[in-house]
Amino acid sequence: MAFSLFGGSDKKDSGAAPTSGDSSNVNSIKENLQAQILQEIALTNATELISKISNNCYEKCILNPGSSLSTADATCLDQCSEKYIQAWNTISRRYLARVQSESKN
Amino acid sequence: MSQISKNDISQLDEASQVELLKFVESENAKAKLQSSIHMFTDMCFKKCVPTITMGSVSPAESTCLTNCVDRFLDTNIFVVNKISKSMQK
Repeated sequence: MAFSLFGGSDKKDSGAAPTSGDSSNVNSIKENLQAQILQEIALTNATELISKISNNCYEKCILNPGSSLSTADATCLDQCSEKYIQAWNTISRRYLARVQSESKN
Repeated sequence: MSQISKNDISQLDEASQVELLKFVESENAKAKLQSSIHMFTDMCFKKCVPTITMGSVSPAESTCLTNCVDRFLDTNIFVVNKISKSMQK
């Protein structure tokens, strides 16, 4: 499935009712739930990123909408997307560093 | 599309439920940070990258982006202080 690209997995719950108190079943239920939560978070993150990149790069690259995406359009979108992701990383590092140093004060 | 069922959670012993709750809280906090990062990137990309001339961030743009985040946080602190002072009067 597409969302496996973004850190998720296809693991589904077995559906069989486990015997309560069986520790290996408890662990697998717990791990399954944690995996599902992580998957949903990864999907949310990816969706947000796609939305932001689309909006920003459409604005910067497609100034005169034609009847199809030209090669120039595609190159611009490509460069813009890469740039945006780099910007995201730069800002992420800075923000997290600042949050950590503020929480120490 | 969530497949998390109440039945699964109720099968867990209390220690596991507590562990799961802590996990959810921790991931929730991380998700809020990520959401902020998305907001800052959107805002600062618009301020710092006027046109697309290449496929990577230049050193000048990089400085602009980090300044952008820092100044926004400073602004936020400034506004919080100002409003809380005016609320004390």
